[in-house]
Amino acid sequence: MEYGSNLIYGLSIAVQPANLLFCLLGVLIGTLVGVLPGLGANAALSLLLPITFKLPPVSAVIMLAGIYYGASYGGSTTSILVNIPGEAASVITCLDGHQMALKGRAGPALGIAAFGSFIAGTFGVIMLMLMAPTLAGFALKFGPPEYCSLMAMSLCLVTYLAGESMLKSLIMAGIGLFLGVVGMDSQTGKVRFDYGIPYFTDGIPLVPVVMGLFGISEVLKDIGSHERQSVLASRIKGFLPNLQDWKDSAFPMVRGSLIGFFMGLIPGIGLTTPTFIAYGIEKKISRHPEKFGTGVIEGVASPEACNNATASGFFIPLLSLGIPGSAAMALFLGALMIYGLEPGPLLIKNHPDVFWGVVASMYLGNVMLLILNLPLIPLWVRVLKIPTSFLFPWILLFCIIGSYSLNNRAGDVVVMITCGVIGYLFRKFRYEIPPLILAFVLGPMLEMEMRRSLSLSRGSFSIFFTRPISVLFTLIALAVLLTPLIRKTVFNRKP
Amino acid sequence: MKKICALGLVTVFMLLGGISLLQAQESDFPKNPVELIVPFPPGGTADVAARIVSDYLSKELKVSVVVVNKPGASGSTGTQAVAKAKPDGYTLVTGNAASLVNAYLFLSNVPYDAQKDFVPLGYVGESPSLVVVLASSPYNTLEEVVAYAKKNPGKVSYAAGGGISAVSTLNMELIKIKTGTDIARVIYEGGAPALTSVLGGHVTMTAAGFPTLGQHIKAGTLRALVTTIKVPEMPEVRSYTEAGFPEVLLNWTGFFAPAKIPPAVNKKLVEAFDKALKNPEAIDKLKKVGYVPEIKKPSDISELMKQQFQLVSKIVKDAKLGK
Repeated sequence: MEYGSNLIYGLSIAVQPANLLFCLLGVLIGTLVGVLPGLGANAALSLLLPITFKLPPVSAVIMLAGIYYGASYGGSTTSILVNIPGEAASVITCLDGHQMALKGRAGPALGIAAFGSFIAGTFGVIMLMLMAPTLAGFALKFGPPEYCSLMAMSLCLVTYLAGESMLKSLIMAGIGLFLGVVGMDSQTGKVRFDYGIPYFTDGIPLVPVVMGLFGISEVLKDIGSHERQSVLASRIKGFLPNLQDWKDSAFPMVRGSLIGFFMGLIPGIGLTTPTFIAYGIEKKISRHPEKFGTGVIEGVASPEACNNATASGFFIPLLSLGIPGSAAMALFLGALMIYGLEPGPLLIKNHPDVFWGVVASMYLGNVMLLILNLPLIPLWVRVLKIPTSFLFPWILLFCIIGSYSLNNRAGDVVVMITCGVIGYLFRKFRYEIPPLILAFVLGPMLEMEMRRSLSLSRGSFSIFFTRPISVLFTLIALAVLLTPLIRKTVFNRKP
Repeated sequence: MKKICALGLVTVFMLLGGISLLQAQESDFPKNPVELIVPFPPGGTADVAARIVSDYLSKELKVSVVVVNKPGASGSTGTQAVAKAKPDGYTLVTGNAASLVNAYLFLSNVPYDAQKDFVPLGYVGESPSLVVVLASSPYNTLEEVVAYAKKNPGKVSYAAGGGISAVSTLNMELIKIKTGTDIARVIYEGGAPALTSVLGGHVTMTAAGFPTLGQHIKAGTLRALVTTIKVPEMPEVRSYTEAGFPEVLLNWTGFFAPAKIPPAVNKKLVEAFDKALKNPEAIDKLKKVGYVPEIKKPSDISELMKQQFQLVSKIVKDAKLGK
């Protein structure tokens, strides 16, 4: 079989000692930056990109891919342990992951996150290998109206993220949408709500907001509170998921992988939104939706599988069309170009060593990550035993370094700290932060895609209802919005 | 009184010392590493050019040249940082059409004047910006698209990669003004999503840079109608001038220093850049990433900027864009 021989060719490249070493180095660095709050895959890639210029192209690309994978692996660790997402894509993992940790089940949560990532990553690589050219066409089916309806549908999922109060979630989503409006309107070039401060021309950046609302506010909340210490010191049950955990998370992982992979094919969706969708769907189809948010393992398995599958999905439009699906992929594209490789329809033909070498090293990378991560779990769990008076100053330090290193801008640090104070107030008054993040991520995309659609149709809204994919998403969005209402009125019971 | 005298003397000595120190600094420039700011994220065309040139510049200046990315606000964040930096020659900036010409006309809060606050040191060259359609579409030339758009108002659209202030977008607007046609503008923030849009058939055409489009033109999925400057690999693609549009905005990249640097330092830097940019290895690498390298004297760079500035102002006014 053609694919078999190609893969063997790829493996023969990937297992060359030097490449193997770069792969290992990549996943190590990736895991590290994934664990450190704020330093996500993007930051790591842009910091290390210049270093890889001196390497041979295949080794460099393998190392960069390793960093990228490692970062999406490592991001969940701090979400679970200290309720601080290592990157935006791990925000949703905080909900149930940290609750599990508070119940003494940090080990199984980390374990299922690692296995989920491994399974989804492997699934993604297999799909990439078998179907890259076929699936690339899927990305192209999405024009502005399709994106717009997809975003609208995703935004409707905000209702499923609501914990105790729907009203509070909607308020938070509203704030998120408003924050997303700040900055230059790319359609006209006019700057909105910047109050004359040049910093806001590009809008409010996501990562400092996430770090502030989660990280800094967690530190602030913990000052004067001894609750965490007593809970964690007393009971830590097991390091690995048990049989029941596996049973509970098998299907969520499969669903998460599928959602993630297909969302990853659509350029521009990003890593964060698919995890929200995966979580929302799990909660919707669960037999016990009320338990979500209290530490159910499905709430960790599905989004964690999802973000790794998305990460591999991104490679398909990149390698087969030369279209980067995210900021990290754009850095990849830049790297490939510097080595004189032009990603696009000719890459597989002209540079099979790069394409298959990267695919094979992704396999190896996933295995390495699992081997690296499982023995680390007991060590990570022990982090919880570090007194917060030692741990939290370090977290604060890393948050500040992390937010500054994103763009070398002091403004990012100010935004992070401001969001930290606001996030503290949100927590104090029991407003949930994830709906804000979802709306903040989706809002600008929804607006831009809608305006693009309307410039295409010269202002006619019929464009959303005359294209099949767009109609489908619009109908799902309506269904998502209306079913709880209908159920409530027809059956006269709480949804 | 004695005290005042003493104080005055001390001040004079300090001043003298300061001046001699300054002179010393000027004559043995550079002693420390030079920072080359790129006001865009890593991986873009300006960044790649800066990284390639920095290696050769470092050999000429015999100190290390560190490339630092300060992205944001169409390049104005990093550019502003350099405008405000100490004019000692240790902080330089990579400038291009977007950060030095277009940003100034589009953003209401750009606190620098590109032509007054910076002096040009060296010129990388230009990166071709092309207009493409799907190879399966019926159009072979720009004139055919324009003719179709005139007969069928509301049917033709283009994806503007790189946002409203990009060179490629403004060139399309220029064509619209000159031909008086109605072509819908669909703005994207980068060349890649604009490329997706044209590949998927959602828009008729797109205007974007050669690095984004080159592979697809070579693979035969896209057809190039026109380019800002001739692409050496594709001599058959007509330039704007050949297609009847002699006025065109170029996607150029160059290196700049704050305007107030000492003349001696300026001279050293101009010479070093000149040698670095004439290095055949550097030229070869720049060609690989899609540049058409060109040597320009600082005075010519200023002249080009002035001319481009006037053209952009005209487009912005006629197409009713910007602030």
